[in-house]
Amino acid sequence: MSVKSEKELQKAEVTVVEKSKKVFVGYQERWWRVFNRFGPAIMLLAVVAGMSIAHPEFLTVPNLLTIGLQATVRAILAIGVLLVVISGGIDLSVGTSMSLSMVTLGMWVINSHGSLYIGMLIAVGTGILIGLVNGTLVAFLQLPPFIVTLGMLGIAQGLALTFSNGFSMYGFPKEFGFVGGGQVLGIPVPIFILAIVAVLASYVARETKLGRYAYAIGGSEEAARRAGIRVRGFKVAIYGFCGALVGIASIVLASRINSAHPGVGLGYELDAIAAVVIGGASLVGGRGNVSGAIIGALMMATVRFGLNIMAVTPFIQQVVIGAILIIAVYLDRLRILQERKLDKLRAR
Amino acid sequence: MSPVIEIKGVKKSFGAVAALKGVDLEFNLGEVLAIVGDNGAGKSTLIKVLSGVCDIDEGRILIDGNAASIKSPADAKHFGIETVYQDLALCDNLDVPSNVFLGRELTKTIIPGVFKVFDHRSMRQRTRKLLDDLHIGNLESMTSLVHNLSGGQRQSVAIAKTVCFDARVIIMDEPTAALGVMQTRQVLDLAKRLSKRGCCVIYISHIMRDVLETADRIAVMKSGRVVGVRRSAETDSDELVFMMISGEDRKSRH
Repeated sequence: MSVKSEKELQKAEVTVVEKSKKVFVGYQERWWRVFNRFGPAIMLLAVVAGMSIAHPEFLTVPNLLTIGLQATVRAILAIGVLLVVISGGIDLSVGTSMSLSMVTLGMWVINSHGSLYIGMLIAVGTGILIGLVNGTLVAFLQLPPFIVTLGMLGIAQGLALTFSNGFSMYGFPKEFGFVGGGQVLGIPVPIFILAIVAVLASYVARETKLGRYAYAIGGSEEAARRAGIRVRGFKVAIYGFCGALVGIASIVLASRINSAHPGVGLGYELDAIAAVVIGGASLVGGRGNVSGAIIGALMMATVRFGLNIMAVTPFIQQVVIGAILIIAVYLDRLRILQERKLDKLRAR
Repeated sequence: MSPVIEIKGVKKSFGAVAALKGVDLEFNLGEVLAIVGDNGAGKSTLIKVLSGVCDIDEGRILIDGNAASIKSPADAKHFGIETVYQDLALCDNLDVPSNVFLGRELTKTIIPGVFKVFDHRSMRQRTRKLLDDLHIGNLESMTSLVHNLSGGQRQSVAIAKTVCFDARVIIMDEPTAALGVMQTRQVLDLAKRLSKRGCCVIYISHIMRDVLETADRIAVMKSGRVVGVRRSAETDSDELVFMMISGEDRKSRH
């Protein structure tokens, strides 16, 4: 009897303490949740609003359509990088492997007069191959993803320049222009492609083992391993998935510029990583989503477009983009610190 | 009733250090067997042997009376041996059902052979039922991330994860080390309930009071040997501490 009342007393005490904590934590947490969820969209709106004020002619339908069109390549790349980042890795090689994919496409279609469709498969295959190599080095040799993919950035760039002898390749068949410049029901084809990629990637991220385990590995690799998940195999597959999207992005870009250019991809990795982080993914892994990555890519495209119409030189643009990447990662850092603070408040 | 697991003369050395110097022990279904001992007594090594993390040098392991070898965590799972690790091994960024079903997700087919999706609803329902069965009803929401749960709730999820899949032997390695009073109580109750449902619960702990209250039998280890086994009703913490420190079993001498 006395034991029971002691128990109840303890219980009552605990609930009182927890309730008072909950009120405080609840207040901070609610704002935090709102920011976490809508932060990327709010930032995008803020950038668009800022641009419209700085440049009154900015906010027109053709301009927005152009931005959307320019964002497609970046968004497809960002979606690829997203899954890698969720799993706690990173891929710095997406830009130059896109160049390499584009060059292999050009070699097949322009130099060898091969079929366009097989050429597209070759481009996607090249991307997948690079991704699989990245993934194998990261998973089986246990090398840091940052270094592996930095090395691959150089390797892919070098191969792209070698295969193309350093020249742009022109002379794609006319129908290829449809991919980047065509319209269906008044909507540009690249936007359709992005929509398909986005739906597919959301499906992979939410409903397949590949996506689920990417989140699990990013959350706790050890827990994933102990749950019997073949972590290394899935890591390779995740980088391979990223590579496939790099291949798709290379096709869209090649069609848009109606040529294959061995140097055009360099720098896209900055946009892709910045887009992913702006979109709410964390570089420590375990979080992020497709819609966020697309919003991030739209923001990067908006900034680039805005800088162009404000006649900022390409040189300074690079400075701005680099700064945005750093700020985005700093925001990610703040987010982690804030979560830890909330954890401490919540700790019992 | 014959023991579910029986180990005989099990030896294990790490280099020059003999961690287990010939351990004999029986584990029965429907009981909580506590293993106590000072640091370095060999408790953790014994657990690692049973959960397939390390192989034995000498001795035999019988499962259901048949000789068995447990060479990997997958083997252990195959024999129905599940382990609740001290550090829980949960993915903070996933919700409760995702953690419980991690690595063995339920799926449903939309288009046969082509299009499968996770069966979120069944996973939620089964998790809910599992937690209810275990009387862990204190989770506010199934969809909250494990990150947002308290220590006791996280422990419940870690345990639910092991119980979910026909576990017959559940190893709990210092399950209350990081918990408060209330949460410790919940875990102890849970261990008892699991044994009543017919599982064998192997409970590792330092805390004599918890052990005496929860376990049916208590095995005391020292320096890689089992000093003695007691029914908890027939012993007290003085005797256990004496056995832990001296490595002698008073009863066996006369």
